[in-house]
Amino acid sequence: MIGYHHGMHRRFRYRRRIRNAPVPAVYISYCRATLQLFTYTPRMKISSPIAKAAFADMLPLFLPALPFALLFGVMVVESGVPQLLGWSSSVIMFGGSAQMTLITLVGEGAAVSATVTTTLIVTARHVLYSVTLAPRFQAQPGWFRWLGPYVLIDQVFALTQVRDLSDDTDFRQYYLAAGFTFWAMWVLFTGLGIVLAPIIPASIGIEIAITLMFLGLLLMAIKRRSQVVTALLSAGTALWFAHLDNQVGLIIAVLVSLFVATIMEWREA
Amino acid sequence: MSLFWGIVIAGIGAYIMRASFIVLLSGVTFPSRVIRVLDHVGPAVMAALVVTTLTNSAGELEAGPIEFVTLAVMASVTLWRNNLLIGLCAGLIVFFTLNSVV
Repeated sequence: MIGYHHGMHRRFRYRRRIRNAPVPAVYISYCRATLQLFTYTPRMKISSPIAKAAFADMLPLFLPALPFALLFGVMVVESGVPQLLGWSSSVIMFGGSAQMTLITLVGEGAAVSATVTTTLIVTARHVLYSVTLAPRFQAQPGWFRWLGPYVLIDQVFALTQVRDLSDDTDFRQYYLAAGFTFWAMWVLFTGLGIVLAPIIPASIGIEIAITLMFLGLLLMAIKRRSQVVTALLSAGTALWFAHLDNQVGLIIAVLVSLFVATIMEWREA
Repeated sequence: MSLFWGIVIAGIGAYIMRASFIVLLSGVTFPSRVIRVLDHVGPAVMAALVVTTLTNSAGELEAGPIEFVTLAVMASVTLWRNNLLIGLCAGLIVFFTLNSVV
């Protein structure tokens, strides 16, 4: 017992001596840096609540697109296009249906000029998005009017129609967070699709998810009774013209229903 | 034309289409009536996209009873909960259950 106590006392005295000794400055700065490494929290604008809402909104929209991103990778590998070149279209074009049309046609041996023309026809509906969002972009800074359209895809457009963002700064933060979240995911998962192509099944069997997503967005975007008429008319016309190539039926459907919408709004006013 | 330049032209074309009116009409004042008409673009496009994703290249509806039940469940749950993720999950659960049972 006595020996034990004696030892404790000794050890205690030893520690005291270390504590009182001057600590090298290098050691202090090292400790501080380690501490900062573990307690560091990024303070960017991205952590604003509106950007978080955009992430949350984008999740159910990216999930249905995920199988298509992987499938695009498989299509690139099967078409024989150089893989890096195929993947670069995710950054340069950034549009699922246009990219898939391009790779399919090139894989079938079509001329590149004809392929590009077809791809541009498939992309044509984005002009409608541009018209619709033009008033919304007027109060925005110039850089955003040039950068924003780069990520103006179906899903981003749909979210701008679903969410009421009256404040211009909120709109900009929301738009950029939603758009570039989708962009990063798309670039990542199309790349993964190329790498994992040998083990990805040809059909994942949840293609219905993308239809469900557009239906959900449609229901949430409708705010007036007259919009129900436009939507039904558009669906009917799209079905009527569904046999036309390159999704031309879709554009006809939207133009027909916009014509009717114009008449309805003029009568109401 | 090499494929790389094809991708670049398709990319520039897509960007021009997306940016066109946003950049060109940045200084034009829109009458409120026009804005009310533009409110119809969203529902019209999405309704057409629903139909487009359900049809094949020959223009025939590819959806059977299971797909229609799934769409109905999705629509009801989304409207009831006002939440897209919950609606999507409900729709997919119904879709896979019906497919494994039938």
